[in-house]
Amino acid sequence: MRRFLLIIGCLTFLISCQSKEEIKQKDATESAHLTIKLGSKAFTEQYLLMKMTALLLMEEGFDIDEMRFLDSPSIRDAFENKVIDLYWEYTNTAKTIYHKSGPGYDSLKAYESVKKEDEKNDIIWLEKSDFNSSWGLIMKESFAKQHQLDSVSDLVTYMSNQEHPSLKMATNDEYLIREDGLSHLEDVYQFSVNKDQLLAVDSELLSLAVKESRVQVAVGMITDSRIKDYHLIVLEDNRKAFPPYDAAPVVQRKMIEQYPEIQEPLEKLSASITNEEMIGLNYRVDVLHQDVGKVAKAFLQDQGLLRVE
Amino acid sequence: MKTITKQLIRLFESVHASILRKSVMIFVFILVIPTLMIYQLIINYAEDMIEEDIISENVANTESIVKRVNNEISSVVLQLHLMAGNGEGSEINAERMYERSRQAIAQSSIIRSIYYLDDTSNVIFESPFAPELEGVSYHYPEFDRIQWTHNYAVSSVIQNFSGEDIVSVGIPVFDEKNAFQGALIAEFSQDYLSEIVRSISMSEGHFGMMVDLEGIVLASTNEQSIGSAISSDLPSKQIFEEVSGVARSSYGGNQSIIAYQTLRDEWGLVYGVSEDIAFAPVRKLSLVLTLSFLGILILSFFFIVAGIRNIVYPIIRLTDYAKDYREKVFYQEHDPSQSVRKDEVGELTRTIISVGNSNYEKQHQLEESERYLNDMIEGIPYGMITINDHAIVTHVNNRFENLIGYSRNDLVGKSLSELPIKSTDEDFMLLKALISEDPSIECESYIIDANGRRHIVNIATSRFYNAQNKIIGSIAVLQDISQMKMLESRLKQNDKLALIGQITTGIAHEIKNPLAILTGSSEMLREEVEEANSSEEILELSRDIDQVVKRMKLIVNNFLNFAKVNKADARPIQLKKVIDEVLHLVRFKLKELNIEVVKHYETSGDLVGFYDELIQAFLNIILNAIDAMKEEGTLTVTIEEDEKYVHVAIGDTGTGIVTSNLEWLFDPFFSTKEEGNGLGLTIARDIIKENNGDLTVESVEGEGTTIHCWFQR
Repeated sequence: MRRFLLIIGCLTFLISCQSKEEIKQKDATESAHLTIKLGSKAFTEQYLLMKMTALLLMEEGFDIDEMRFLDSPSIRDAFENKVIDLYWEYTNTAKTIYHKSGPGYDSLKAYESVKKEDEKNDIIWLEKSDFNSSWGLIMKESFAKQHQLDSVSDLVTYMSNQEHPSLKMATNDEYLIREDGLSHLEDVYQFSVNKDQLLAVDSELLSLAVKESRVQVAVGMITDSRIKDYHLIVLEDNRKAFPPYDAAPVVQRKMIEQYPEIQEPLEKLSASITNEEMIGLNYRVDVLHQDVGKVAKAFLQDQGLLRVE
Repeated sequence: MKTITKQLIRLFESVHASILRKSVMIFVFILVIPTLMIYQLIINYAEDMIEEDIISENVANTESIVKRVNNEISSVVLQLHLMAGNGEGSEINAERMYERSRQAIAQSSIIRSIYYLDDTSNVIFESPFAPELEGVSYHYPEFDRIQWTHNYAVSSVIQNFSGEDIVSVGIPVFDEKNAFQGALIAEFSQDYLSEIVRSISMSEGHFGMMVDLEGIVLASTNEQSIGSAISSDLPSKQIFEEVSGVARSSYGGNQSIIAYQTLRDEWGLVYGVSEDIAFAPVRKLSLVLTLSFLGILILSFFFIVAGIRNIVYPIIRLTDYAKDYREKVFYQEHDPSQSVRKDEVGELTRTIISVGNSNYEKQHQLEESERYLNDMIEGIPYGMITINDHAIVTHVNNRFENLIGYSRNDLVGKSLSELPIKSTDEDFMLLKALISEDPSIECESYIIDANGRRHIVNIATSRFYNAQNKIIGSIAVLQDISQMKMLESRLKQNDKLALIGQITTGIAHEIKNPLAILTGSSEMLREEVEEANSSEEILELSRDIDQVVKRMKLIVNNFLNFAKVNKADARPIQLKKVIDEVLHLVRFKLKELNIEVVKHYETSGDLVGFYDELIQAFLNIILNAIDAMKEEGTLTVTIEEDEKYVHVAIGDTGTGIVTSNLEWLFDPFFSTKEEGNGLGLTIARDIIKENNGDLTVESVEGEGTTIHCWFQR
């Protein structure tokens, strides 16, 4: 009998707790109906980050407006003009493109630098993730094995050999024009690529171009999930030409001051993303063609950042 | 608590005790309940499965619609880029754009119309029908977004510059320097979008609708709903808050399972099916299952009934038979109307019945032979007693009961030594005989019966042995030979009497002469004394002598007459006188013993008889009465008469006569006195009989005896 009463007590307690919880949520949704505008660049990883951010902030009770930008300059432009309130930026992208202070090869220093620099512009960098969306030289595993290519230097050596047929290289448009792009790579490794050897393709198609042997090598994202799927490898950046591109949420100062509650979930999120996780998520979207929203939501639920309905 | 368990135990026992209840319980527990449980499991499982199936189907459908719409939008965006010539590094060419767009519209089902807005929101053309438009300005809601993002944007439901509600996608148009120059906008055909939603599932009951962020329906399976806000029944809020999910709610009056998902570009989709329709297959299945389970139950019920009829009932009948068998005393023919089957149960039944019947038979035979034996034992004209090896009486027959005057209930089960059939252990010959070493003995002994009478018996004993040759008891046969002995003694007595008769006749003859002299002398002596005026005493004595001598003479004469059987003539006499004379004769003895005489003479008792003989008879009777009293007592003499009899009763208050002696009372020479010759009462009776009378004895032991003499008048 006593045990039975205890159970009843526990149940009622739980129910009351739950109802309190619900009431709290209702209050939140009804009180704060501010729309936060989120931005993303035009590739999978960014879509995922934006969607995760959207879900977390909606959980906090905000309305969300999502905008997809074509490239880094346009999103930075919009951000500086307060068109968007929050997006995910990469440390060295900001350092090289926006601040024009050249790439920083120490990930923490690079982060501190851009954080400090942007605070002047009322742009707040939240805690960065360990997820590094860097570039890398991608080629077929079979080709690399055949010619014993392990690092970028090996490749440069291979390319400089006149007897070898000239290789084709694919990059995306942005890489060709970025300061930390192709020209930087050529400087570091002391080689040059002819125009006719270059093929500019959409970021999404870089790994496919290598896979289908349209090109022998591509400058792609090392977090591209297709690399593994297509049996490609990333050559070792032995001279550190590719700086770390750690992703971090970037927020308008006014927003974070007005709504400090958004900081915690976002930093939790950035703490939970690793390279492996991101490759896995990209794989699900790019290779398995799963819905971005669903993948993002499932990840948050797995990480315990979003409650499971 | 205890009572409950008790009741449970009782219930269990009652169930356990009956094969019918057991089989019904087994039926219920092994068949009905599991069947119902299995049925429930199947139905629930099927419903769950169907539900899962519906949910996953809805989710999959939703996803495929979403993908398809996403792809369609992407391809429209791609086409728009191609039309705009973005990335071609060429100048803006509206005409070329219009041309290209016209061709695209002609080939595409999803694009309704395309128009180009320059960077000041003027509509430059509208394909396919207006190649050139002047002065039409249109504020496209997504214009700024496109300008900022340099990327395409999908609109909600908005009004186009003709005032129609439409959905559209716009892309930025760049010049050769990648500078923003305007937007190229394609309006979607909502029919086509609805078609996409509809195309996924043609089955009835499915519904789907695409909504914009505001919840306005832009494509739907139900065309009426396009353009209006989404029904509040549907999970409109969740679509954008939760990305995707499943809800159950009532839509259009039907409980429905609804999946929802956001598209890539700020549209949302709900897609559902009403449960009635979704669960129709499972309902059908459950109906079929219900019917089949009912069928199974009915069949199994029949099976059980058949089982009970064919197995349990025969067994129950058999049990009833067995119960009857236990209760029956006599063999009864088994009811032949119940035809016995040919299977194992039938075999069992037949066997049991035949066993039962043969038992009846045997019992019957046993009873018969027992009765025969019993009759034999009871019919034997000898007393029979059997004892077991512990000398406990096991059986006595009727004769034995009669012999000793106890019923068998008093005897059977008792130890032989306790039987009250002896006066001392010494004379318990039966016991001795029965427990003697010899296997069989024959001897003569006596036993004392319940009335204390001695019976002279001839005892023959024999041993019982069991199969192992052990002694298990003995039997004794007792023959009452008292009568025989008495007859023997009578015969001896008669011889004796004849001898005595002869001797006494001789003696009487010898005495007769001296007596004659004595008579004369005594008469003379009396006369002398009377004449001599002697003292009264002497006179008295002489008279007595005379009288007695005369009587002696008379006795001798009588005796001689008796021997000669000559009878003096009877004369009228008075019994009163006779008795008074007798009392006179015994007056001294009465006085000596302090015996009081009470006389009840109602009449004088006149009758015709022999005076002297009656004197003798009554003298004998009264002497016996005096002897019985020994000292102190009352002698009561009563004379009365009625029409038939003159009745004389002489009662004493003496010791009475032992009942066992009553029958010997009148035997000659039977006496209880030490110096008695056993003739007194015999002679008295004979005398009374000669005087037309009867003598009866009434005696109560310890209280006294009354002798009645009944003389016929």
